[in-house]
Amino acid sequence: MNHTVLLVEDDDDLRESMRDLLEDNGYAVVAASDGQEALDALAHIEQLCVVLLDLLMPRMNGWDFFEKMRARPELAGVPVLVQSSAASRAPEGVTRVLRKPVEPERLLSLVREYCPA
Amino acid sequence: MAGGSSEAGGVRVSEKKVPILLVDDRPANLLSLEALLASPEYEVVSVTSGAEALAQLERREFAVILLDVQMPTLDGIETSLKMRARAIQLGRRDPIIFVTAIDVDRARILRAYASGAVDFMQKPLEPAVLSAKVSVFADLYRARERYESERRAGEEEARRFRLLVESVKDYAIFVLDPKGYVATWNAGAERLKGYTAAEIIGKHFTIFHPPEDVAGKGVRALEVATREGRFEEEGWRVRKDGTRLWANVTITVMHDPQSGALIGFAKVTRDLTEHVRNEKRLRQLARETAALEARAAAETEQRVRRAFLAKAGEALAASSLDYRATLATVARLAVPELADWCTVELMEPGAAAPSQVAVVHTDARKVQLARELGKRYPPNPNALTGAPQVIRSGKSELYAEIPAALLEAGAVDSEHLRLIQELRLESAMIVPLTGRDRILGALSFIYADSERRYTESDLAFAEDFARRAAMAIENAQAHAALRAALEFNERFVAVLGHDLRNPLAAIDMAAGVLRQRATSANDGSMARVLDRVKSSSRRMSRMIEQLLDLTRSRLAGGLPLNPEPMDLCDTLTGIVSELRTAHPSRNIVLRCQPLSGTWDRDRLEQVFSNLIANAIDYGRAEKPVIVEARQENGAVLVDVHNDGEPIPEEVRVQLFNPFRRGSRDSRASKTAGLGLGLFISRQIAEAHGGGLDAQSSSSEGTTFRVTLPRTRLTQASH
Repeated sequence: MNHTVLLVEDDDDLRESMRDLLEDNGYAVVAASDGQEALDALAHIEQLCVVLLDLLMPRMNGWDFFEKMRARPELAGVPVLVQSSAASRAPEGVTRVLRKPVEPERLLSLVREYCPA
Repeated sequence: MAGGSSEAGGVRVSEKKVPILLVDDRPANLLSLEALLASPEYEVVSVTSGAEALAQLERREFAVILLDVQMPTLDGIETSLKMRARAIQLGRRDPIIFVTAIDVDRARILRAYASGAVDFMQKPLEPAVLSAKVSVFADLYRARERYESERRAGEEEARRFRLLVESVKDYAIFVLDPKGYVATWNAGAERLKGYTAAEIIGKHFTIFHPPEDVAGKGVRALEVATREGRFEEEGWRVRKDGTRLWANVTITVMHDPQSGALIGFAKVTRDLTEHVRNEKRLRQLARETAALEARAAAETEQRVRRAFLAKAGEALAASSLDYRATLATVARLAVPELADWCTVELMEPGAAAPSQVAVVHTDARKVQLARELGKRYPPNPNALTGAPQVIRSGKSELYAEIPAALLEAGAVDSEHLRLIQELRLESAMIVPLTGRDRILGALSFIYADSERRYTESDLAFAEDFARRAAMAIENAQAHAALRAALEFNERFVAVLGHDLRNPLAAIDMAAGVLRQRATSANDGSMARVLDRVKSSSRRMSRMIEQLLDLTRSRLAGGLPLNPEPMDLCDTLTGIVSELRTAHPSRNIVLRCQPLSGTWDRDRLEQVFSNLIANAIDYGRAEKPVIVEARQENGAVLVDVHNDGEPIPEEVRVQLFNPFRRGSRDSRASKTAGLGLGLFISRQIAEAHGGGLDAQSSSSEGTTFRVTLPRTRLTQASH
């Protein structure tokens, strides 16, 4: 599987709409509903081009996931776009912080920057 | 006077020999008479002539003179006459016994008696008769001497007594006759009353009385003295010069010791004016001292109260969040200066009975006792006195002395009464904590076993304090309510910020997916529907963003900023370029040079997008919107200008208020929102330490000016 987008979002409707949008536009998407699921999913992704990360999630939140992901050297170069609804600060070192709701066009154009379709 | 007789003049009469004068021209006769009268009791003086006899008489008094009437030079009769005349001149009566020859004629004898003889003896003298007669005269002499001696002694004593009385200066001591006329006068009387003895003796003593004295007062005083032996009073008396003296007057009746007849009154007057004045002064001094002490006590009380108020005020102000704890602190502050016990009862809204939030006493064991008492015998909420009643009525209760009956009435049984009595409650005041529209509770101050008592002034103080405390409680309650509102607000922010935005994002995303599919399927009708969905969801998204900002701006700390070094000109260029794309028909002029500073880029984008979009919406379409940024005095000024109708006055006054009226302007239907844009823009500018203002006139158009310091001054400027 080429150029996979890892989508981490606990809101089912939003996550599935985003998956539809990305897949409609030719991207491979692995979706996870929390940080733990995302960590587990990482093992099965061969060509990760970008992570779309929500922050406030049950079980493992976005900050913890990001920290664990950064602990893996092989994932150091993968851009992480944080989609946040919280006023809280995004983790240090993320590539971009997007305020929810992110318009579909903008989301696509950003993903396009990192993942050739 | 009695008892002084035997010692008058220091001479013992018994030792004194009785002087006898023998007068005879013949020494032989004298010798025989001396022999006859030889006795240790007699001192016999013998002379041989009448002249000598007269000389002796000058020197002394004799108990008896034995006179020979037939003396050659001076006839005995003649001598007798002279001697008698002289004795009378000397105030004496030296008795003379004539001694004659046997054949004396009767005429001669009578002449002798007439000349002063007391007896007559014929020669030859019968020794027994002579000695008997002389002895009688010796006895007479001795008796007279004794009497004289006693009289002299008495006189001396009387004289000394008189001197004593006369010389007493501090007391007026004088005698009144039985009718009240002044009979004697002393120096003290003169000094006290101003009259000399000559002036006053013979005057009635009522002359000393002031004119306002009731008539007959003086007479009655004498009557009392007569009846009871003594009369005493204090009163005003008048001096000769008319001035007054406050006198202590004693009138003592004097009776003749033998007959018992009234002989007069002894009157002793003491001038107490100075004494009274001193007493007055002392009383005045005592009053002043008492006043000073009272003032000192009052000052101490004031100081204690002020200290209490200051500390209580601090406590009330400092921990306003937990007013129950605050009231407990206040109760602790009242003990022991203002109370031995202090309790606080609060009537929580909706509660059936007041609850005790504080019981304070210096002795923790007593507090324990009171708590147990309260547990075993819960206070009767319907009691007619005490905290429940004060809370019901809003009227204070003051018990300067707690009546025993009150305690008895409050006791459930004898054991309860015993426990209450053990607390030794003595004085109490209970004051209501009166709030704006209800009684919040009651403060009780109690003195127990400390001899202290509450007064009206204490009550006024306590009521005043309770008013402040009540105000503090209400403030605290309002504060708590505000805090609850703020917590609600924070929750609201969380809901807006997260929970609400996720579904909105999902709608937007889903509409976006469908919009793309509609485009792919060339389904224009579907695409227009989905555009409306997207447009609406974006408007809603903006509104949520604004509500969120409004809420944040109201929270402590204000709008959070993430300042970073940036160039404002770049940012403005980006915004203008986007808006030119969105409004291709409009002319937007941007004038700026590079303007570096440390600001929150996203927030400034929000501000200028809002201002420029407004200028486009409200400005005249054929006129350009001019955005000009420049540096001035270390700050950056950005003017956003449009020509057109000025902002109406009624809108201008509340232009920067949230949810302002007038935001539903028909021309702005496209951007119709919550009326929060300018409010939030100003909040953002102010959070940066700058500001946002507007000027609007028909000639100049409308200009919004944003001022931004190059670097944010302090975090506190939020």
